[in-house]
Amino acid sequence: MSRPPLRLRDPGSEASPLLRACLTEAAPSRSMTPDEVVRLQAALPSGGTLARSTFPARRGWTFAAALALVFAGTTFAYEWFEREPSPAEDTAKEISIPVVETALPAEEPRGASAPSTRVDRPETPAADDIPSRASTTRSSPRRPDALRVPAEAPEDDPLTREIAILRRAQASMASSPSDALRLVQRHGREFPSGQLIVERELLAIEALVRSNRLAAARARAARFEAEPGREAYAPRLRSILEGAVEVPVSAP
Amino acid sequence: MKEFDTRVHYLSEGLSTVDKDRDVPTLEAIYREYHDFVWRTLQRMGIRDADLHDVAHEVFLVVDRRLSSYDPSARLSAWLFGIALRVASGYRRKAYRRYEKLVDAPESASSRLEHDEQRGVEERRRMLASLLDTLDAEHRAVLVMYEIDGLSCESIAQEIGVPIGTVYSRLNRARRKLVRSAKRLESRASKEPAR
Repeated sequence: MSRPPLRLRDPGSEASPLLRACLTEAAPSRSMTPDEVVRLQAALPSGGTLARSTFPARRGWTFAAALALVFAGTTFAYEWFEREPSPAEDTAKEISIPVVETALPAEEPRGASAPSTRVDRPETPAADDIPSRASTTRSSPRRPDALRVPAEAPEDDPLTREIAILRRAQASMASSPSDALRLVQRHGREFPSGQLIVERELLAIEALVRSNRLAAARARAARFEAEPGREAYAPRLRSILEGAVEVPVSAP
Repeated sequence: MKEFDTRVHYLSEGLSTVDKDRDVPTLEAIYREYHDFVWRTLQRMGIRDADLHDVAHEVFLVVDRRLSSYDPSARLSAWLFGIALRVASGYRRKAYRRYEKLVDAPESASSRLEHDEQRGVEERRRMLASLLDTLDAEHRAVLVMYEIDGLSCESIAQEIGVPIGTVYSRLNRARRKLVRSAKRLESRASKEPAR
C-alpha cells in the first residue's frame, strides 16, 4: 500500500454496510475535561505524591546530609554483609528500634474479592514479627513478585532503600492500590523512623482512597494533618481526598 | 555521585529527576503540552473511560522514571506513544487475565448482529468495541486514528514516530482483521435461528 486507502466507512470500501454504519457513528477519541486535567496533574509525582521530604530546602545541607547518610549506610551495610549473623542476633539488633508507625484503622467491611489486610498496632513487635535480613523469608509470608524490592546491594544506603520501596508503591498505585498499601506498610515496618515518613503517609492515604476505603483514608489524613509542621501538605491532601468520590471501581 | 545529586534534587525539590545539561523537558512541561495526546492515545489503544485516569497516571509515572534516559533528538510524542503502548498493553493483558471484559460484550452473535440496518446505535457501538478489541493496542490505535479520528497517514506517522510505510502496513493489517472479524460475526448471526 503506497497511498492512503479509502476509509472503511466510505462507500466502496471492503467494509460491510453494518461495519460502515458502526464506523460512521463511532465517536472520535475525546479530549480531557478541565477537571480531568487538574485531577491528573495533582496526582503526578511533581504534584506532590512523593512530596517534599522533611529535609530542609537548602541544597547544601541536604546534600551534606545525604552524603553522611550514604557514608553511614555504606559502612553499616559493609559490616552487615561481611559477617553472617545468626537469626537470634539479627532479631536482637532489630528489637532495639522503636516502632513509631501509626496504627491503621480497622478495615471497613468490603466485598469478598478484596484482599484482607492486617491492622498494625503501635507496640513493640514480637521478635518473630520483626523483619530482618536473615529472617525475611522465614517469618514473612511469601510475597508476590510485584512487592519484592530487590535485595539490598552493599553500596545501597537506607535512604535508597526507602526510595525504592516507596517508588514501587507509587508505581503500583494505579493498577493495584492494595499492593501499594502493602508496600507502604512494609516501609513503615522497615523504616519506622525513616526519612520519608511524610511521603509514606501520603501514599498510604492515596492507596486507601483508591481501594475505596474512604473512612480509613480520612482518618489517616486527619492524623497526618494533626502532626505539627504539616500545613504545607494540606493542598496535596485535599487533592487526594477530593479524588475519593471519583475513584472508578472496575466492574467485575 | 550523579545518582546522589539526582536523588537529593528529587527529595529537596519534590520534582522529577532532570538532567539540565541535556535540555530534557521536565515532567510538568511534558504534561502541559502532551496530557491530551496521552489521554487520547490511551483511548485509541482501548483503555475504557473509567480507567483512563489510572492508566494515564501510570504512563506519566513511567515518563517520570525514564525521563533521564530520554534522547532529546527523538520526537517526544513518539517516545510517549511507546510508553503508552507498553502501559496500555499491560493493562489489557491484566484485564483479560482477570476475565474482565474491556467492553460490554453482547451475549450471542445473533443478539449483537442483525441484518436489519435499524439496530440501535448503542448495539452498534458495542459491536464495534468488541471488534476493535480483537486488535492489539498498537494496531488498534493506528486504525482508530485513521478510521475514526480522521487523521491523515502523514499525521499518524509523525505522531507515533514511524515511517509512513509502516503506518500503511499497520493500517492495512488492522483493517483486514477488522473486516474479517466483522464478516465472521455477521456470518455466524445469519446462521443462527431467529429468536
